[in-house]
Amino acid sequence: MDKIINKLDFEDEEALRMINALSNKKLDDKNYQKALNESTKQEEIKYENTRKLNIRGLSLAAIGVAIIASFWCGYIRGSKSAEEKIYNTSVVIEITDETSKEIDNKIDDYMKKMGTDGPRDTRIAVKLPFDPNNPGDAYGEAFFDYFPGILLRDIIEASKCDNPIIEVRCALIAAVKIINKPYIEENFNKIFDNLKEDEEFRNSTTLNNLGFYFGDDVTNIWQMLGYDDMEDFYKNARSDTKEIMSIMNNNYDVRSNNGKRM
Amino acid sequence: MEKECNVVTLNGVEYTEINRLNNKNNTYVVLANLDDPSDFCIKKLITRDGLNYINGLDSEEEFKEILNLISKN
Repeated sequence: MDKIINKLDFEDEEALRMINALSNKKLDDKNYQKALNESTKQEEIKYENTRKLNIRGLSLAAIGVAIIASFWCGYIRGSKSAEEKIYNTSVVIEITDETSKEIDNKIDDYMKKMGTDGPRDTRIAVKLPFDPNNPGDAYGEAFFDYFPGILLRDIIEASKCDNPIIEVRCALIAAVKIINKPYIEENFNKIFDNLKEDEEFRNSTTLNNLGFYFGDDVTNIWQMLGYDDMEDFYKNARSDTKEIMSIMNNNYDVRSNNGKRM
Repeated sequence: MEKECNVVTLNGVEYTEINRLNNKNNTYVVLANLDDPSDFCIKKLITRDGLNYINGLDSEEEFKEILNLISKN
């Protein structure tokens, strides 16, 4: 589902309205049958038209479809809780302590892996500031720059994990924390350039499903991830990831609460 | 921000590709009516002579399998 849930704030009234509307549709057997019939209709159609659409609208639609798919899978498995969810009126995302801790731990693990916990062969170390009286020596705190190739490798490795949606996000959040602030933009944009130039990457369904977008209008990695800029990513990525994880863990509930967050 | 998306008209309604999934050597596209995401379907993507086509899934089992992937992804 996360292809598209790069940035979805569930306190946002628009998102809640959409989800409420879906819930109110009573996603019953009739809807399932309609989707099944259309999906299994044997008719080959040319797939060639494209249109520019708002990413936020796509995000909302994607999460809506993911919730419906989740409900139907619940139905298929005979889950009573899924059935109950369908007949209520609004969705509340609950980030449990467990989920929150799991994400925080994952980010910590990536930070350690990336170099705060012992040396790493290919890491580039930069010591700043340089002592003007002793050129060549460094004093004060040691700063570590992070070689973009390594982060690129971490992204690729994370994208191959069982849960790439969460893993890649945690890797990137860790990287933002670990790279010295003046170098973040530079490092991430080097990674972006590498990804953008790599045709295999660009067309990878894995990355596509992760919400990586390489359109001509996207000029940096933050936009590629669906954020406005670094600050936007820095501010929201961790909580967004926790919300996505909560949805994936079905830690959401559908209640008659008029769309108010509990 | 906008994104270039694949769209297709089915039964007079425009559906937009919102997700693409790989499973068992097949590529699937999830197509949704953006005005009403409860109206969606899944199609198989076929590339022939450099052109893309979509066609229906073979069975309800295949449909359920991809639904399950969507809910997990």
